[in-house]
Amino acid sequence: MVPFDMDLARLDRLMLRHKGGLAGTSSGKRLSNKFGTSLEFADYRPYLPGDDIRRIDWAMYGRSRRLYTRLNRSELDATVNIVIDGSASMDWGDWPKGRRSLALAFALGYISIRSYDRVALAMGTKDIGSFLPPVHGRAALPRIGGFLERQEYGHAGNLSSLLLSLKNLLRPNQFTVVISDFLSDWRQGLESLVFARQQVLVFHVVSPDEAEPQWRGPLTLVDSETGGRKDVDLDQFTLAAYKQAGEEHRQEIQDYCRSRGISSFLYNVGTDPVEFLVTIAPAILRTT
Amino acid sequence: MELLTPLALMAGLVIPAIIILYMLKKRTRPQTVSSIMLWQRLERINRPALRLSKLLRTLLLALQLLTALLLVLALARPVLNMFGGSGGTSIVIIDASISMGVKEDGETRLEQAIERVRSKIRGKAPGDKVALIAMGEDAMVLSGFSTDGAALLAALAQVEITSARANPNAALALATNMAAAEEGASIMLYSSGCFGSLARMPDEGFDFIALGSQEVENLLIENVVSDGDRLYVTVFNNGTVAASASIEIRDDEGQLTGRREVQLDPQERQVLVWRNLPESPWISAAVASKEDQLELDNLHYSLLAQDVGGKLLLVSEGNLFLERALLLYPDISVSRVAPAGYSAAMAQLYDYFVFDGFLPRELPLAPILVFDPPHPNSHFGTGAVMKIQSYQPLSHPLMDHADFSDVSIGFGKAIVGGSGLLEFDGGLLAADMERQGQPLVVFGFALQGGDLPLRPAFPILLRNILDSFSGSYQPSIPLKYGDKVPGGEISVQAYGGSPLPQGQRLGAGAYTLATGDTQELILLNPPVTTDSVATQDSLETPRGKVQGKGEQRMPLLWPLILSALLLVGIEWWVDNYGS
Repeated sequence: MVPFDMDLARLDRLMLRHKGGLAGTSSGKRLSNKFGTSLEFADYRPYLPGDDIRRIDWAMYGRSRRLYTRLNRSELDATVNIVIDGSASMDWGDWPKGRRSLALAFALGYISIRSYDRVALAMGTKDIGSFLPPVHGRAALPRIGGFLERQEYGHAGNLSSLLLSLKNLLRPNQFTVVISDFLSDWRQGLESLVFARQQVLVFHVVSPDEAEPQWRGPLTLVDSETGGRKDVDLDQFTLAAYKQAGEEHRQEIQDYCRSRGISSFLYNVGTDPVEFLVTIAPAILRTT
Repeated sequence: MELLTPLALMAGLVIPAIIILYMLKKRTRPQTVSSIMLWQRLERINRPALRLSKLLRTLLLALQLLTALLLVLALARPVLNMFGGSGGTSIVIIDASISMGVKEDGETRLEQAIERVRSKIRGKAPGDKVALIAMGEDAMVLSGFSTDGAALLAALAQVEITSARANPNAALALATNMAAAEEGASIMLYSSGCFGSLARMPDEGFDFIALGSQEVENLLIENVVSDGDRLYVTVFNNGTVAASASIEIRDDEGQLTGRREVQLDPQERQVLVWRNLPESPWISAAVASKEDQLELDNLHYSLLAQDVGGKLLLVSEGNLFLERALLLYPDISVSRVAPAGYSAAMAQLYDYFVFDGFLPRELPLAPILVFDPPHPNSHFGTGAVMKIQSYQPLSHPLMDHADFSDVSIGFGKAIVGGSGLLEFDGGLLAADMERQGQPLVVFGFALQGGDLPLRPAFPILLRNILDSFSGSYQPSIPLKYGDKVPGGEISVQAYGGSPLPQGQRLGAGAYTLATGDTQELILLNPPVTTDSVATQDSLETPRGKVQGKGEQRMPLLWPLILSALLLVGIEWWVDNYGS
């Protein structure tokens, strides 16, 4: 069963690109800086007693009359932690951000599972509400799908609190993917991920209604999370100022991410998640 | 500028309403959003866009107010009054003949003309000069060239209907002379055009503003004559549609003594006869009709006992036909004198005068019949003697029963002004005029110049004329409708009423005229014409037709509406700016 009705086959040959120094627990498809048993040549070193004689490079011996052992790189798996903002604001709009965010998380999980990585999922508002421990192998996909299908949004959220609550679950040199609309405090949370030596990917989720509101006239805006109210007379001028404020907000997030070496992407939920990932693939994904 | 419907300015109340609506807090509707975090940032944003927003909101208010103002003004139908003179100098001639008394749309043509001229005077530039002329049977200058609006308005208020007919030639001649003194002056004639062709035409700068419509319903009391036993009331329809009315006869106490219904087609005349007249020194006949558009000629007063006799002086070198014809009337004593023997003192001795080929320097104040007047003369306009190819009789009470079909006239001269009896290529050949309240009938040919004296039409025509003369009883002091109460030893009081103040205008009615110890009953009747009172929208002139201009003012309705639409477009653009 494939949830979220997506053409996942287009993602089959993609995998998250790491920046080196990944910590793995099992053999996978990601080459590490350690010597291992992969087919990828790494170096030579003089033969030492006890070395596997199958690794002696006999061609080198023929040329130099010295025994050298050929060293190959190690291949490890990676752990991808996908964190989804579960606040009520994520479930708002004619194109609900929540559903598309879950679909995006599943697509990222699919890519990771296909890449022999481990995938952990966490969702919450101010702390972790639901957590799926790292899973791997194709058999894990239904578990991931089932986990995501069970998730519900609600309550006021705080992204920083949520990310800080992950502290005990993260290990250095792991991927952490954050999917959120960033409509709450976020800076401290992202700072904690960087501090935890995570390779962070940020997906800033917006809905078309948020980017380009269609209402006009005198309105009392009601916050979907807090119930707070604000009166505005929404005309073209106010709308232009709102769009400007939104653009500044996005730019603020991007600037921060760039300064911390975090890859950030704006995801308009009007776009199919698979299509979106294919589009941004050159930046964070590579072809296996 | 003038507003045709000033009441529409009441719609201007919408302007403060718009301001109040802007000041009111708008009623909002709730709209759930993901978060108000970004919206709260708007208050901290101080960008040119928001400043522009506030500015444009103010601009929107201003545009809406301006649009509302323009639409309110458009509803009030403003017109721009334009005096035509190149140098802002104009001579305004206002027709004061009875045809201007026709009431249309609630006001008479004269009131319409006065209102238009009044608005022009109010809207004229400070340096514009305007002169006013009232055009009755005589042309009267109400105001010379003046830039003083108040003085012009005061002069304009003096215009009243005092004449049966208009004499446009006299008025135009006067206006042309005045225009010659002011370079670039234009002449504007406000009239219904109910007169004959113009004998002359200003060289340039002449506008005819036609007033009224070409469909009029009007019955008039043409004449009321009593022979002692019977009363003859002549009712005439000089309108353009068939009309019906009640004719009411009242005695000096206002008691109704008779009523008849009449129904007349256009140009139809009916004589109503009453017997068993009441014991009353005078009697009045009135047209009672709600549809009648000209009230002025609906009332006529007449003495019941009249002395139809009198003394007639024929001033002629010798005219056997005329002398014999005049002797047919036994009640009239006829005397003859040669022109050389005529003196001004004779004017006081006779009741009627017949001038044959001669006119004295000063005409007597009595009914006058003139044959072959000298050309030119100082009393009325004439043309040069010319051969008459053909002519035609016109509809006129004096022409009743006079058959001119077998009458030949060889030579004659045109008569200018008055109501026509005979017409030929050069204008009127014979005309009925009024001079200082006295009838003046002029034939522009000598009796010897044709075979009229040999035809039956001649005694009938003469009888009609002398009958009309004897019916025009005049008191010792000539007063006529529209005159002001004279001062001095003369006092005028309404019949059975109190004396009237000096200077008050006399309307139609019965009055007692007191001079010293003597008292005299006088009856004043309004001017009456049997000419059509339907508006002529073009004038016949020697240079061809001059088309009347209905409006000589520029309506501002469409410019205002177009401006309002333009503002709406700008407002739409401002409202959508940045979208």
